[in-house]
Amino acid sequence: MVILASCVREAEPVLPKGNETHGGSLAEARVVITPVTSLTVAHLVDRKEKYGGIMVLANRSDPPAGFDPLRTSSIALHHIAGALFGSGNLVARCRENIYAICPYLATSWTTNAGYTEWDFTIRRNVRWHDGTTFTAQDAKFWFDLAHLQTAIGDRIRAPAYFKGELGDIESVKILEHDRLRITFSHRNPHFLDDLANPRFRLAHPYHLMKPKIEKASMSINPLGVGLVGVGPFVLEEYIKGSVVRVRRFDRYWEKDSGNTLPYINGIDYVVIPDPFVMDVAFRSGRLDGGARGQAHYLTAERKRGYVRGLGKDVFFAEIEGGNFRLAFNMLKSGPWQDPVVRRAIAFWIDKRAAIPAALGGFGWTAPDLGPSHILVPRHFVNWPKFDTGQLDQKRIIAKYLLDEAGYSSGFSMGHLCRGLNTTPCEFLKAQLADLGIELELQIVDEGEWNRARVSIDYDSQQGRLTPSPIPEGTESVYGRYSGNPDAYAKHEDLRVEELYRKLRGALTFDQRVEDWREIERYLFVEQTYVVPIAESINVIPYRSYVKGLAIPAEDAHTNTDFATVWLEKG
Amino acid sequence: MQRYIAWRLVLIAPTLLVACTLVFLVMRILPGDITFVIFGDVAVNPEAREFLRDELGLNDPLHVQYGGWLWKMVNGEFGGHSLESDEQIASMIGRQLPVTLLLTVYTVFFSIFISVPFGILSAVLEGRWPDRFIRAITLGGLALPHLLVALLLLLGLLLFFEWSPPIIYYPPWVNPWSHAQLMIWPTLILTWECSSHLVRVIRSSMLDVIRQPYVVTAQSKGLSVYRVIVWHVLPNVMIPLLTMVALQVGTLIGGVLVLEIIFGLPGLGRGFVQAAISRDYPVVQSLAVFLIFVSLIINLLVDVMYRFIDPRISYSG
Amino acid sequence: MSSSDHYSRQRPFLAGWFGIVWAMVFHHPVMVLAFLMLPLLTLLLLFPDLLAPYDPVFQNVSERLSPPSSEYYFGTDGFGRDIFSRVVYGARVSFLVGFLAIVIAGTFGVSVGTFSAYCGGKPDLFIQRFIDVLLGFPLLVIVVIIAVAMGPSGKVMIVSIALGLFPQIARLSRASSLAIKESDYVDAARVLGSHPLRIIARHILPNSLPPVLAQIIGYFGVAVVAETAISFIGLGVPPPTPSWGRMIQEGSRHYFEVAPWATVFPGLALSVTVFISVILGDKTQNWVRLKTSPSRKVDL
Repeated sequence: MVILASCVREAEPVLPKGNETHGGSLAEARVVITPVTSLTVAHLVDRKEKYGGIMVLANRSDPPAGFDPLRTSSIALHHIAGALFGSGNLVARCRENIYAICPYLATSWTTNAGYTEWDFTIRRNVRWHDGTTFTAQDAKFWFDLAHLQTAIGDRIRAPAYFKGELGDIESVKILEHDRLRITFSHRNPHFLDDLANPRFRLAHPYHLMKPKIEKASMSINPLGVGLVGVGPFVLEEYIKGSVVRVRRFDRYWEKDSGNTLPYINGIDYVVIPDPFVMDVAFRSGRLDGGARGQAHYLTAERKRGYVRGLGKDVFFAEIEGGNFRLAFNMLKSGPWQDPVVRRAIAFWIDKRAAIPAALGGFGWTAPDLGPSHILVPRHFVNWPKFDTGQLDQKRIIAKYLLDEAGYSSGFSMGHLCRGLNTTPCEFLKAQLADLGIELELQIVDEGEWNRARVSIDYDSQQGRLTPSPIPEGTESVYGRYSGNPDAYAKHEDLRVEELYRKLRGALTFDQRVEDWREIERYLFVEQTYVVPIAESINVIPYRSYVKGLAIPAEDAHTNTDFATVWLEKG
Repeated sequence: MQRYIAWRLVLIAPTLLVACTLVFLVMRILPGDITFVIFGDVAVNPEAREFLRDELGLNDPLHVQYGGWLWKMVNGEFGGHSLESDEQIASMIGRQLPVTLLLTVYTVFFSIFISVPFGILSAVLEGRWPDRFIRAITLGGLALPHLLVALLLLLGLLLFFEWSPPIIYYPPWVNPWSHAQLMIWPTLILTWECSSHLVRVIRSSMLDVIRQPYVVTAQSKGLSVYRVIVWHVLPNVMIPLLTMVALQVGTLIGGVLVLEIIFGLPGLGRGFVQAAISRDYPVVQSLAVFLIFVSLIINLLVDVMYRFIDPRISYSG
Repeated sequence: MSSSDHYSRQRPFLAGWFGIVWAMVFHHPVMVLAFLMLPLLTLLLLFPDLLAPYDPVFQNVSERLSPPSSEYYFGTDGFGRDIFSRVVYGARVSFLVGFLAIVIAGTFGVSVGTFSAYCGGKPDLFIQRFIDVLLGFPLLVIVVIIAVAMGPSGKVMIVSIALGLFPQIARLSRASSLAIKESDYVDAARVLGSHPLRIIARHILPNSLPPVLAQIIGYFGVAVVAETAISFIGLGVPPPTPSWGRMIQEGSRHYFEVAPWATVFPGLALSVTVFISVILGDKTQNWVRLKTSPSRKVDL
């Protein structure tokens, strides 16, 4: 048995454009390292913790799906779910370095040589909000709910939506000394990376839910059992349509340099669906922090209003939000089947203009991963052929390419557009119009968008904005359609599959970077299945007296437990 | 008259049934379904989706779904559960209705309170500047969209007073002060519009009546203006006024959706739109039926009043 | 209230239907003005580029959020599109939706209402119940359900707003026709054996229609406001076609404070439209009352 501990180097915040080495290859990690026992925020010196206070945050809407993380990844839930259910499951992304994995409800783990058996040791003294101890039984229950279809009689309970990301689990067994063994049918060396997704939260207490399921109440959800979780805050009150109130859980396990967490007494999440109303509320002092979610992240203009009104009393958390792109449906016939046409479009689009026009003014032009990502080497800006050169020159080339392909008179192409936010669609349409391409916007509501994204009915689309800390995980959005229905570009290119296999087999860190770059080159330059336009930045306002926020480099679903936050109200 | 009222009440049941069926069918035509909303913005394998649909009873044949829903309407569950949040629909309506109802009641109350004196004033001083002034304001009330007024109001409050209304709605029996601070703004906006309608009705019907021979007679007999107005004019104004009030109530209950969204009021309008967008069939169906029921009652009242006014209209209808 | 033939008895300069319309339009200077503006308005709606200096969908990102100036009369929005041009083109959407909605609702409403009143008895009852069901839905509710069902588009909005207004018009028309139906004049015609359609066309409609028409003109404003509200929610005419409601939504959501002109100008355009619709409706209403009781000079 090879003993592997979490790949934690000493906690070091990763800075963009830095030139520190991201040392520690996978080979080096096969060494016994004393597991870190808590998610310490080690680098804040001279802080004066202050217990007390209630923080008031805005939330985009009521949490959907009965607060069930197995059913939804919506930020409207996960903004609150962190406080109630904790920031991870057995493992979690480290607070100070989102690209590293820290223990959470499991204190340590081992795997066998073939990476098919993963054993976790469950942390002791973790309690559910009603006082019951958290055991391996709870963990097994959760894994079973997530990857199995439960049936009692003719009533069925569906597995979690993320079942596929867990890998093909063969069995989940409880071992002695409160340990859990998860067995896979195939090798799964990246299991921890996949598992440490902040969306995978335990909200399903065995002792409360199991009896209900036995009684064939199959659609029982966390709301139905009173929102009992293991997080730092416990539910006090939920007034639907108005507010979710949570208060400190006195028996929360996590400590911070010896101090029990959380510091604040509680959080009130107020439901405010309209961003303008949120701005007004924040700037008049009724909110301590803004909501998370597409429409609520600040745009440059709104931020200016905050700064003008509040000055030093407000600060802004900036979290990388994901890439805005144009992706083609290669399984539908049309002019975009020709790679020259796709290349022309890639040259034509004014990527820098997308930032103020489509992304609210915050972002940078990037192929896929943002500058702070660990796989992005120092020369990130000089990535081959990406967005270098003057726009005019590039546009001349684009026109030339399009003529070459025989479309000098242009053509028309459909485009799937999410009704929630049509601004990027309008931007694309206007851009392509000048090239002679008529982009027909097909605007759909949320339900239809979720269906349409995974179908091959539309000529082109943008895909979701979600960022990804795990490059291997991007196969689900760049891979072949037959295995990855949610892929941005719908293609069946075997070479892409080959390249990802290579990436997964990389044994050193540098090799991993090289393999990833090759994928990027193939996807974005040679084939241009996807035209990456710009990376967005999510901006969330907080009052200056809110201290101790763990702001992740990307992925705003992370660190929403607010356990290390305190309010320094003089 | 009694027989007419009783007959209309009896007719409500089949009308509601037709309405139920219509709503049910319309919702089922819709493409897309609620599993896409529940699963959020993540792609799910088709099996998981099918399982959820089974769980929610969406794969049952249509008549089974229809029958099931009808039964739940009648047996007190009022349509069952929301598909999205699993909340009892009866409790949903119980939660949302008071908000909308309170807003309606406040608006109507203030509107009547304001519009009666101003309407009378406007009619009595016809053509003079107070009348013109009042008419200008009522035109504003009818022309300006709620939406714009609400947005400007919020922005103005922020920029000039650095203040905003409370963000959490409290019923008046829990926190009356916060309730008042929040509700006053949508009430003002709605009152402006509602009282504009009322003032116009009062004014025009008063002007009608003032010219009538019997009023002139009364005046010439030496009755004071006050008596003339109160005893002869007003009674005739009351009925068209009440008719208009009833109509406004009907509009208010379903139509204040935009203001509910802007001011964060968890009322019926907002709940309805959210359910429709999410394809939460049971909620949409039940809410629609509820709204129709309320409207039928109001229509009944209005019809009865029409017949009061004009007894020539036969009851054969 | 006298139940005689109010309008045709007047023997205007030109007889019959045409005479009624003529009288209705030209009884007041405001109406005349509106009537004269009509061709101008139609021209503008058909050829908006006569008035609009810029292409409403052309994005000029470097000029985004510019304040009103001699170059951009109403300023620009977040994409650098000229707001004045967008308001002009947006008028096309709003007016078309409003006009078609009331024409459809009016045609069906008057037909159904009058027919129902004339028939009486069982058909009347049946139709009345059906109307009641539709009346039960507030206008916005109907529009939302249909927009969600069929997807947002101009046609859908016209149909759904028409559907929402139709029951009110039918009801009104029925009440109006009922009052006429009971009159002696109509009874006489019936006794004489006139064909029902002729009775309706010659005696009932000319008297029952004008009050309904006056209301319908007022409904134009309602239709336009409904279109705006729906666009605000996001279910209206899809972008990048300019529509006032959508412009208000975009402007208020993203840059209300920094660039209020993006929200205020479409809002003003909307207000002016509703204002005019109300005034015209008033004048017509007024004329109707004038005709039904010559002793009054009521001015709304």
